[in-house]
Amino acid sequence: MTQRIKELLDDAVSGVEPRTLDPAGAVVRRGRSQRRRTVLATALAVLAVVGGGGLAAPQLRPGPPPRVADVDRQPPVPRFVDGVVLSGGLRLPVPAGWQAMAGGQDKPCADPAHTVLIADFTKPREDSTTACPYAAITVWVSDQGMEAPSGGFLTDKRIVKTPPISMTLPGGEPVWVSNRIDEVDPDRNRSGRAYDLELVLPWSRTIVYLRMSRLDAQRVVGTLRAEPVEGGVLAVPDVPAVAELIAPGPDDEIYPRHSRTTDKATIADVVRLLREQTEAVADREACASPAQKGLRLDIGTAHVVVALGPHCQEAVSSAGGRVRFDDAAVTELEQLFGIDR
Amino acid sequence: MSGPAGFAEFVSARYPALVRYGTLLTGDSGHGEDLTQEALVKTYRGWHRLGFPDDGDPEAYTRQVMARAAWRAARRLWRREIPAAAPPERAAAGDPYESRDTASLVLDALRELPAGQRVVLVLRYWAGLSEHEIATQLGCSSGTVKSRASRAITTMRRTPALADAFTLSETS
Repeated sequence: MTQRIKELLDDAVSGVEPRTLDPAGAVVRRGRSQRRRTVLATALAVLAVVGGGGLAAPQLRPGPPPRVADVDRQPPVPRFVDGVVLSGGLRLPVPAGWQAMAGGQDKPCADPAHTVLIADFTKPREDSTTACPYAAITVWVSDQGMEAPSGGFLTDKRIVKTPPISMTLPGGEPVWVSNRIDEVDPDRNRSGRAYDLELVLPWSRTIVYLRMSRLDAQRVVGTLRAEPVEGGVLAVPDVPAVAELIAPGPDDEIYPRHSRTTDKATIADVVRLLREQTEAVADREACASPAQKGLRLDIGTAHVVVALGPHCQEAVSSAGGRVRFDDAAVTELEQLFGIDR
Repeated sequence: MSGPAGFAEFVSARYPALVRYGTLLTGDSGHGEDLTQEALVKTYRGWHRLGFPDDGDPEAYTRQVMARAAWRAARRLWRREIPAAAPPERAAAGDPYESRDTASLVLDALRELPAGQRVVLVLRYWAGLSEHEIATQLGCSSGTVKSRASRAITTMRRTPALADAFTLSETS
């Protein structure tokens, strides 16, 4: 019956289609990128030895120096190609039988519940969504800072954002989501409206908004893929003026812990701590998932999210980079903000 | 420019099949494609040195690189992470996301296997290699191959819909 197992395995992958449209080009680019990194690491090592002589030698690391992530800061231009929405690294297949359209077009959508709309919010909002304001899936890019979607808690003094929720797309790109996807949004359900889910892809500078049932949202999310992105250590601003940390409260407390600082010495320590985390997480090793709690750190123009948990604790910067972030780093970060437990 | 002569043609022709092979080896299409590209980078670099395509079989070489990479990375890379979103539930009739139930079951069961067992299972029962051939390819003992294959079959059998196929295989 070995033949039966082979048939089962064949059937299991018969529907798998590559998401890369130009595989040969992708492979060549990948190979060249790897070679460049090797050459650069070698050159740096040689320069260190030649330039620094014996003094430099002890500073050499066994591997190449940590690479600061380099995310293309230019927003991508979302487009449809062969039934797939491409935006930065995002690959969103248009469901069979659905309509795909770009905002601003004159033709209205006949069936918003089965429409994927690419909106352009760099133009006046009404111009970009008039064609289909209630499209089930809306995709757009942002030229502003990317941050995790949040709700808010009203404290004595101000509204504090909720801790972030992370996930990882097959392919490795981090995503920040508005809800834990298996959770029902009670307000939405009570009013009979659709379950809304917002997904922010910080590295692709792309936002996906889903208006549909929770079950359909799960299905759509299950089809999302991402092109691998060469990551690196966290990219953070040099001298941010303000930093704010929001951390989940104790299990029996719904309110998050939070602190905001403009103290230069504290902010310098936070930047140092972030840069000391040099264990970059490769795309295929990334593991953040919605079940985990998270920290959100706004530091200058960068937004850093730390997914917490014993088996997968990693930090992602909106400016680029993903690193392991161990318990000691979490504790030190909370101590710097004075909210350690 | 897409590499040395013949490389682009080879990739264009065989890429989908290699991605499916990678999906079996990793249990996930996204990781499978990533594994495929990593292996193809090695094929690309060795294209002239290995005499492809006239004096060698680039597909066999690529598949071997993929299997070894999946085996080596068994504990480190693909075991702990699963696509983050909940997998789609069974779709209603006529739904645009209608899934192929058995296919999904098989992939889910594959994903549950430790990566080392999954690699051996695929080589043994999908590629049809003998235990000795697998051991040679992966650089391990035949005993290791045999035990991993046995455990993989036992685990696959725990999925009720697959129990028959995987039970009969052991007795045949």
